[in-house]
Amino acid sequence: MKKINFDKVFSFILVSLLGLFIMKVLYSVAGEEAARFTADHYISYGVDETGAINIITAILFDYRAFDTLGEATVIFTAASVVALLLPRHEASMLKTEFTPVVQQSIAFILPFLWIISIFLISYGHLSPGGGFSGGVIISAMSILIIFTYGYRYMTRRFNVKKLSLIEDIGALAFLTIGLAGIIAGGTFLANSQVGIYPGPPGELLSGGLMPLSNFAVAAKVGTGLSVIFLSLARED
Amino acid sequence: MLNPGFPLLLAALLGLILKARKIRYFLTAGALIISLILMFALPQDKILTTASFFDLELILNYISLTSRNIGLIFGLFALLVLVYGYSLLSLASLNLLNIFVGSSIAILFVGDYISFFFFWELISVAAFFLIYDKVEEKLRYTAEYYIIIHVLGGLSLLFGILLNYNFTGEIILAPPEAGLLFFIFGIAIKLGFLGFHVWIPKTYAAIPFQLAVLMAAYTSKVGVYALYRIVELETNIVAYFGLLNALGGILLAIFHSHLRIIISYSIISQIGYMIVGIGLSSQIAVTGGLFHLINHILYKGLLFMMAGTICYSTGFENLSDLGNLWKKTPLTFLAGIIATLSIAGFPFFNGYLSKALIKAGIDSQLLYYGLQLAGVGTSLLFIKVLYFAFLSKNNDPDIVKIPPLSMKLGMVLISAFMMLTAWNPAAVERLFQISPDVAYFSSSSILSGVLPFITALLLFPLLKKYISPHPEKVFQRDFFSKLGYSFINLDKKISQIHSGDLIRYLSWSLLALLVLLLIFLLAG
Amino acid sequence: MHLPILLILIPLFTVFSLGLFAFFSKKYIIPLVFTSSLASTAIIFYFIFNRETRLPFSYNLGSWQPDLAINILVDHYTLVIFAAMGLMILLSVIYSLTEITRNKAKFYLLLNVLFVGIAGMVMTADLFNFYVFFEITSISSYALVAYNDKDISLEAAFKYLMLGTVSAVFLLLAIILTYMATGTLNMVLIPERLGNLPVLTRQILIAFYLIGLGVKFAIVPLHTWLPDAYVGVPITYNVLSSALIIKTQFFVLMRILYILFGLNFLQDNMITTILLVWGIFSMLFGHAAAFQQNNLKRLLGYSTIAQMGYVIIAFSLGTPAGIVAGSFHMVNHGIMKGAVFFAAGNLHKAAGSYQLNKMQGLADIMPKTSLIFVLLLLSMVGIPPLSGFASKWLILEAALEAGYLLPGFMIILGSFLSLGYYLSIIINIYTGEKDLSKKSSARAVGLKINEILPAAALTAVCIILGLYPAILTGLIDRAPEFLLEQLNYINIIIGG
Repeated sequence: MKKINFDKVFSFILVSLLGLFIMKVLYSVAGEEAARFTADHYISYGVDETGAINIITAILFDYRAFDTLGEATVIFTAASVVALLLPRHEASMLKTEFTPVVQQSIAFILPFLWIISIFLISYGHLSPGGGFSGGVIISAMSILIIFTYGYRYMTRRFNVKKLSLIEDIGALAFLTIGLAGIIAGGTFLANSQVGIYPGPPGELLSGGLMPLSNFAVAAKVGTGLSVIFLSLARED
Repeated sequence: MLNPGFPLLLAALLGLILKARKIRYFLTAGALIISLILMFALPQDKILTTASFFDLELILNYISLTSRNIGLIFGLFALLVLVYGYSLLSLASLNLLNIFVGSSIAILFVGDYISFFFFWELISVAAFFLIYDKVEEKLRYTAEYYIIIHVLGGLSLLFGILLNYNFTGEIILAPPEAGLLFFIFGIAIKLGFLGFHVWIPKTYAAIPFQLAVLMAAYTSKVGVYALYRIVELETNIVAYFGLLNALGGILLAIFHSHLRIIISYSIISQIGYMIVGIGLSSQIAVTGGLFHLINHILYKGLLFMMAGTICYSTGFENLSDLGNLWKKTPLTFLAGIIATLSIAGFPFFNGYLSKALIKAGIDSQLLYYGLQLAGVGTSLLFIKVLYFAFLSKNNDPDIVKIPPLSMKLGMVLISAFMMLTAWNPAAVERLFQISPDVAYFSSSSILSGVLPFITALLLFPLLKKYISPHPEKVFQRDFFSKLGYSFINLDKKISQIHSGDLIRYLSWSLLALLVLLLIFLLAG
Repeated sequence: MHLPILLILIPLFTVFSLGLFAFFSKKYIIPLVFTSSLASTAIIFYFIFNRETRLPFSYNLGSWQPDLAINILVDHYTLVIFAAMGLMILLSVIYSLTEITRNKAKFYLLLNVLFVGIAGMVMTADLFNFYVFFEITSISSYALVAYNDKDISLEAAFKYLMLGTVSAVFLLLAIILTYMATGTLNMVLIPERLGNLPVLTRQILIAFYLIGLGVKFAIVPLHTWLPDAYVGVPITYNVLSSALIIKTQFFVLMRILYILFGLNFLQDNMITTILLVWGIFSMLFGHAAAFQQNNLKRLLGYSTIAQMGYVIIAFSLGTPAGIVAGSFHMVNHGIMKGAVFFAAGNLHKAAGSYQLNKMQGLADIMPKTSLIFVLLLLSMVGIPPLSGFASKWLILEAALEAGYLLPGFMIILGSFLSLGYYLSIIINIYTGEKDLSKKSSARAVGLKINEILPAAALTAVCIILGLYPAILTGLIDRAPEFLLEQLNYINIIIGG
């Protein structure tokens, strides 16, 4: 008979107990009449104050732009760490050959993906989307390229170094946009509150610096995720 | 104004740069002389230097009569040790000596608990490095033992100081109003009270003899000084504890045969005398106790010097290896006789006056006869030493090395000084500024001084076979080190729960959360 | 006045532009990092020196009204971590100049991410923003633990990652629950709204906060990652972790507990008592475990755990004296432990190992470093006149003043235990070979100035603080005002 691992049994009991407990707690908290101060404010005044119809983007890039900067930094750091720590081997796993049909159709799809991503980014403040989602699609493109045409094909055009460079530039751009707020007489990351062209809501040119921030974050997220994937793909 | 201990501490700093042994030697001597001059020159009973620690005022220099007297003997004895150890003290130990003696002197002249604690700890640290030896494992062990037990005492003192500070808001060095127990525990370790005495024989028997001569004079005496300054009870209970120490020390000593172990245990016994003196309420007895401290430093120094010289010249230190030395080392024999008569309190020798003062201040029969009994024991002890080392014909060790002139000179100087004080009670009274109505040399006093020694002399032939020397080991695990080892074993089991298993670690943190939640749920 | 945000932006700018600079030429890396840490240090010292006129200072991001915006603020309590940052940032960078040989750009990138995280965590007044910076700090910590790319460091980083992530989940849960209950993330608005919740709910929130951050400041039994992580990392990380990261996490926990929940609530509902007992347990356990270690870094890791115990005890007293004492020890322990690690790193250069028995005889090869080491260890035990004594004095005084005699006694006991293992280090270093021909494996090495400087400077600070502890207490004596009095904190941003 196999020896029982007491640590595992113990932790199983522990986790179950804890789970029950936390469920009970959550019930008790959910029963509370939640104050909705911040959320109400966003919904009621969000469009007027920021000029962006998409409140999520308004929150991400204006109300709480500082959090976004932090999150972007997290992704940036993660990309750097992955590139640093993963062993330096050439790809051997991704040698699956696809038929020309696949290669051709992917080549057909890629421009559309590009357009979609650009659309999502530039209309981020008007419709669902934004820098993060646009960036993810850009990184999906690089994943597709690696799968279909191989790791070497990708690295001949875009290696980790170049991608990181773009990432750096994107991040710096975001910082600079933040500094614009200071230049305009407000505080860091000030946007609509210092009157940087909120525009008529609904127009493409509205929301002040939000479209620019979207582009910066998209560049950063897209390349950051690509770097992570490229680094992971190097593993054999 | 400089605290009299500070010249030595400054010399220690200066010594960091000066690497030549001769220069350091004379630097120390010079600093000692400056410190002695300071003790005399500075005005008494005035706050001379202050510093601050947070918003507390530290009194760094306050010279009282008692502290000056003890300081004088501390400084003087250090000079004598310098003479004795001229060819023996190493470069490093000279600098550590500066710190050790310097802080021992400085502690006498501070007026607040924080600086007191500071120097209290500095003595331990300096002593640690004095004992410490890079090569000799036994010395490393001894040093470790020494500092552990002394820091334990120091921390207890610190806790007492804090309790007192918290209670009174004062840090002035005065009998505390709270936390007395912790003070007593700390002091008991420092002065080697029975039960906490283990470090004394362990240390002084293991370290090089020139350091034993030096160190034996200071550490426990600082403890006695602390007892004098800090512990103030309304009853005489302390005196009875002192008696216990005086008798217990003898009982422990009498069956040993390693020279320095015997002398070390007799320190414990002699400290008992001082405790008796200090613990009594009469001024005469207190002065007697403090005077005994001064005498004790001298004759105990001489005893250690004697033991050191024997060890140096023969290479042996156990009485069972020694014998028949009186012809080969007559000077050492003479020193031994003087020291023995002094420690026994024989009239016209060094210890007599202080013992007479203590006895004059005693008001209870029990204490009086107890001390007389201890006197018999002490006499017996050192008659044993003299007999087996110098007179007995059992062994006949050769002289391996001739002791250098400096060692002999040291012994001669200290003996001369002892005889000088022994004949001059008026000088003592001037020193302590008292005029007790004690007839030192009346026939009854002399009889009371002679009696223990004569008794011991008569008893010795009868008891000789029971206390005859035998080989023994210096290093033995005592109660405290056994306690330490059992703690370490227990500790090992505790720390072995770190298995490195991630699941175990994760479940610990979840367990912590669960326990927290359970506490809140059940208690709420 | 944009100074506080600059404290975050300067290292952030360095992080983002390091890759750019490194792309063109590697020789720009060091000047860039150096300039940025110099600038950060300058800002910190600006706040420290102008604390009476400039503080408290709040800054709302995006020019939004204070109750809506993410605020960052600097008050007198923040100065506690600022004091440690002011010393450690520059010194750690100086020390790392020669320690890090491969992948310099990446190392400094991670280091600066760490600085961003710490500065953000200390200053932010928004719960979710705090969580973001918490993650930034954590990720860079994991990466720095794994940085040496050895088996031991990778394993340790993995353990740290797992434990850290599990704890971060609870932290996030706590933040979400707080938001659910109050409808805001702004730390100045929460206290008032949180007061209406049932006691049990608030207690449970506290439990989640405690576990979430407890892993990071290594309270026993959540400490398990720390000794492992300390073994295989660059000394620079050891120093920063002991002196800054752990302290920052605890600092923020205290701010959350005292500001969000309030002193009265904590005292009425046993929270302070639990923390006190837990702190004592943590301290004694840390000391006891350190006894058994024969790897120097591991030992020092456990000693850090134990020393955090003192800080926890002091803070959980809930009195102004306790806060000052705990803050003093936070900074002071950072200085001492930082110096110990720097010196240990130098000793390692000669010994080639952190195993204590392989460090024998180092005193002959590096007498000065060994002397510094001994001084620092004695300071850690609390021997006067080194700064460790001032810490112990303050903590003990605060504990006794608050009427906690037994905890005070436990602190004494803990100091005594710590003597045991510090002695074993000293004895190992000061052990020579009897036979001079039998040389130990250690060899003499020349230390560069940037390796000597940090240890020497911090030791000097340690001695100066021991003699004049009022320098540091003068800096932090108003900290309790902004920790124990919720209103003072709230008024910095809104009202007042």
